[in-house]
Amino acid sequence: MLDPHAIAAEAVAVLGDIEDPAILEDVKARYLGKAGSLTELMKQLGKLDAAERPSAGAKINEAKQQVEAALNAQRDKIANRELEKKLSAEALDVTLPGRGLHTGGLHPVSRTLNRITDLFHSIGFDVADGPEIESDHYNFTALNIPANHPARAMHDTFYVGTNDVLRTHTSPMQVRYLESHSLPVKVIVPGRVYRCDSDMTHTPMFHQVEGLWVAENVTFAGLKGVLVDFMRQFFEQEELRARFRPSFFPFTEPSAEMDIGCVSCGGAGCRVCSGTGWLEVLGCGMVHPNVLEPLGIDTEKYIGFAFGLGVERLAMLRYGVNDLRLFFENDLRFLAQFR
Amino acid sequence: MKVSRHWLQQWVEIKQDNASLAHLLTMGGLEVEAIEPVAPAFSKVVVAQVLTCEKHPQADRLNLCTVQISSDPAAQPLQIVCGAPNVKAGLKVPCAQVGAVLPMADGKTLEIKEAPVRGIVSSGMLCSAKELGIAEESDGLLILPDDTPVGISIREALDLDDTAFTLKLTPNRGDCLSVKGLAREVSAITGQALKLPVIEAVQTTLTVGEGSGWHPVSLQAGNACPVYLGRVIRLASRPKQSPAWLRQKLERSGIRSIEPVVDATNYGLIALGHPTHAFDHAKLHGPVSVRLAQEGEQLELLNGSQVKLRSDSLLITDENGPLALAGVMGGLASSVTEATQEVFLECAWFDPDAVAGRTRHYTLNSEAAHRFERGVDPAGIVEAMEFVTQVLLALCGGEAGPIIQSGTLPKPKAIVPVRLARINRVLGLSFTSDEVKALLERLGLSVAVQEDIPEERDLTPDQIKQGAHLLSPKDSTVFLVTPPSHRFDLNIEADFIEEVARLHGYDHIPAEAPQGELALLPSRELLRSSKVIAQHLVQRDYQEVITYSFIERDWEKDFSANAHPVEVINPIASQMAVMRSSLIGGLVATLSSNLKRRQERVRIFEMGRTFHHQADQQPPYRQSKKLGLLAYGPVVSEQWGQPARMVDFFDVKADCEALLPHLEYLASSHVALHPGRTSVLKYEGKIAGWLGELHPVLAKKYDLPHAPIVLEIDLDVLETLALPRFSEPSKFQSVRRDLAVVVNEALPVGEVLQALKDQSPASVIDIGLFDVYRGAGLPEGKKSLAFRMILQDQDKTLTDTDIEAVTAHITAMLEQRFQAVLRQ
Repeated sequence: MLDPHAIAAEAVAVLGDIEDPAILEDVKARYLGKAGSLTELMKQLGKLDAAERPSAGAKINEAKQQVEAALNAQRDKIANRELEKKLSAEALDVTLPGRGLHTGGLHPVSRTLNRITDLFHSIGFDVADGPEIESDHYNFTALNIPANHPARAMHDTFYVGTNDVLRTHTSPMQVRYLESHSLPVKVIVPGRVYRCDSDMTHTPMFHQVEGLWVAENVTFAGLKGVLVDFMRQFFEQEELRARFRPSFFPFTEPSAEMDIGCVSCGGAGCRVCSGTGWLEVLGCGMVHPNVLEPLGIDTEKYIGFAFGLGVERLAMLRYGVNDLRLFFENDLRFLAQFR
Repeated sequence: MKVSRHWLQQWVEIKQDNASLAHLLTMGGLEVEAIEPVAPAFSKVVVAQVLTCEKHPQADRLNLCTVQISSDPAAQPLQIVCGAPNVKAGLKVPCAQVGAVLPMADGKTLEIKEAPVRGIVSSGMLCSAKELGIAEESDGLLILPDDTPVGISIREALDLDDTAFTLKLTPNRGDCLSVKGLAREVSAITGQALKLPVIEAVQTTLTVGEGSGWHPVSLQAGNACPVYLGRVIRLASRPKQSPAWLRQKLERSGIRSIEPVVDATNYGLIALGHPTHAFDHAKLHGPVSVRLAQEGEQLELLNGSQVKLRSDSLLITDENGPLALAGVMGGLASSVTEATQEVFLECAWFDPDAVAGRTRHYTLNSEAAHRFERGVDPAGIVEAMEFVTQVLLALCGGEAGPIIQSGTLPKPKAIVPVRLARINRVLGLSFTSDEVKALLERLGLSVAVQEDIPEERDLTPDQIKQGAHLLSPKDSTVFLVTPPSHRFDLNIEADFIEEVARLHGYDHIPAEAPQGELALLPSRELLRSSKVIAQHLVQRDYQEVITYSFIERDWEKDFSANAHPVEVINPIASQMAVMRSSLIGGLVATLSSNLKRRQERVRIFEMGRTFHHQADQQPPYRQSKKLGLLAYGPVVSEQWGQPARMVDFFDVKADCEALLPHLEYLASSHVALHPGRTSVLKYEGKIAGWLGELHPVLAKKYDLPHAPIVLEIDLDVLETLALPRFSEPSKFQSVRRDLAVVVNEALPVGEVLQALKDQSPASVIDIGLFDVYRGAGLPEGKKSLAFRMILQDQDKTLTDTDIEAVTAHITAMLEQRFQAVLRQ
């Protein structure tokens, strides 16, 4: 009788070299199949003495297990190699760009408007919107700018009818909002405004944000506080300097112009601030009694402040844009910079 | 307004340097725009006298001069070669000594050296005004007055170390449009002493009156001109030019010197802020009056323009008609000429309302109107009349007649009570009575303080309710203030609060955290803001743009078939002549300009108003907010991972559906869109917008290689959201059944989908179209539609019988409504 261990050793050696799963099965049959050499040995067990049979059977089983173990190991090896091959064939170039749509972007003026409205909204200002074709009444008269007032010359007005204009500022909404809301009110009004002026530093259409707060405890000191806080938050400069100068708007009294320390040079003087170290950023003041009283508001009880700021100006300062006209040329190469 | 520091300094004490003075003025509300030296820097130029002047032996055009530059006549004169045509012995002229550095026009400098000129050494240079940088052009040496002391610096002789301040004045500060006004203001801001000149009345030696052609002026315009001073002045001579000192004063104030009579009135205007006007007395006929124009009357003005008068214009007239536009500009016919021997000098007060806006109406530029419409001090008219008379007599000699006054000065303004408590409440400060009184008095105001201190026990319950018991005695202080006649901006309490704040300094008012009630803002969940809509579109790869609201007239025709757009009466350019009624034109133009910049893929949107007439309604314009969107070029940027495909109707429709799922899309027609590729968008049965491919004719007209897909929709439709409502998901199994039917080609699929949605049993929880097929196997003119249906019951698992009943119901419905045949 052949030595089962020798057969097993031979089988293990043969199996270890096999790459092809089909050959593997052939080899398996050669040892473990119906006519396989270990199977044949098992068949011959009956010819042995009864006393030898258990130990011989155990040896053969041991050999069979060795072969099966080697077979399984080789099967796994082949399967793993196949998987590796497949995976490596499936590998992607992960550095290729992603597929499909990308994202667009907001216009820098909208981006700035959002920033302004978010900041004021955070301390409870409502956001309102109003008509762009305005009557003479709302654009001027109700704001204490009677016909022929020299202040009208400061507004190069577009007319669409004898008494209808393209609003020259967002201030008409002060009156409209007060007409339709009960006091106290706290509102900002972003929007388009129009002036008949076009050169390096003027476009015939631009954007303003109007602010109005009418309540019992409103003061000029509070107006300063809100606006200084706003500018510091807008530019994210905690130490931003600010100053207020007396000015004139027919619809506020006292009136002020607000300057901030130049955000470009920090106040040393540069091209952006014309060497002054200061940037004029908005007009403001305490709402004139001539605006409030015709609306039936008790000016002994209520005091208001108002302000108006130019959005393009803030956008230019914030993003370093050097030419106002770029905002309305809609060159996608310009607009894409604000994504 | 431009003012010379040296002149200002004569009238008010100034301790500050230029920069500090400018800062104080700016922070006081008079913004200083520019501080400029009146002459460029140079040195070693002195007043010289030409002693002898002979032809240069080697050059015809040059002269050889001996020049004295020392105050000691015995000093050795210099030898200087001079090429100026007007050089001659005896003249006093500026002389740049050797070592002098002169400014050049290009910003460089020229150093004067001792050098031979055509063989003869020249020890300096005689100068023209241009060579000193104090004039643009010169035609020879600057000739100095005979009494100029020889040897002194030319800078001293011509007062060249002066500085001109340019102020940007707000319209409420008409009182600062003069040296006197600014002096007053500097004094108010700094507390430094005013030194205004005392203007005395001139001796009147000329007798004029009835019989000598003089009539008192008749005032027929009521409050528009309540007082008018007139005076006849006979001039002894008519010099062609004003003396240097006057020309210099005017030039440093930004006024061009013309001739002595005009210069004298301009001098008065700059010095005192009061416009006066000189008529040629010989050209006035009959009685002079002040009246309003009759509509259509004509007047030829000093500047040569012929104006057709509007009836709200105030005139000075004589028996022949209009002489001058009162307070604005004189007429040409009655103006002073070289031949004028006698002037009739007018110094009147015109109400601001009588002058305001007239220059704009007639498109005129007038220093006088600029002042009258802002308010001229009525109390200053006699002073102004005397001042100008003095100057005229000084320049031309002659004699003056008496001032003849018509009318009376307007009534002084009423006293204004100003409450200390109100000042402190508005400003957020705690001034004392003395502090406020001191500030107000700096303005030269008359201030009376009334201290009415109520005892707490005397208060009524109402007063206590209003918090009066909390007032300290100083809170009840009232200042009784008489507004000065020159301040047209001080009329009510608020105006004086501003003055107090201004003189105290806005910068000295603290910036405080505001106080108010804390309350949450309402948050409307069903209102989607345009901000959120914009963000949504940005996520779908659209770029926001902002285009002008006024557009070309043609765009309205092309994109809206609108022959009557809202027109801008005074457009800034013809391509901005009408208000848009659609956003599409601006988007197409943006596409076109970006294609020229070689952008091949353009996906843009804009949110903004459109403008429409609404006849016979109030307001007469509808101003709706819309979203406009345009997509052009490849659906995705050219890339490795996806085949290139041009964006089409259904791509943009998907974007639109993503924004708002419940719109109805119906085939329709629109002037700007491809007739077979146009959908009207309806929301709750009403037209909300349009979606389609741009009409090929317009694509060609606007130079677009392909037609873009455009969308326009009312923003308020997009802003409306529905509140989500919960329904419990079924616990039972769902089943899918597919259904293919053959229908006529012309049948819109949307109708079939709607019918399926409306008429399917409740167990059909979802229906979707997954295939549209035409061609082999189908008859001509037919198409096959394949639907996916998901069935699920809320209460049980559906049996085959249940499912068949549902499909049978649906098949029957489709057959009955659309003649649909089940496809085998």
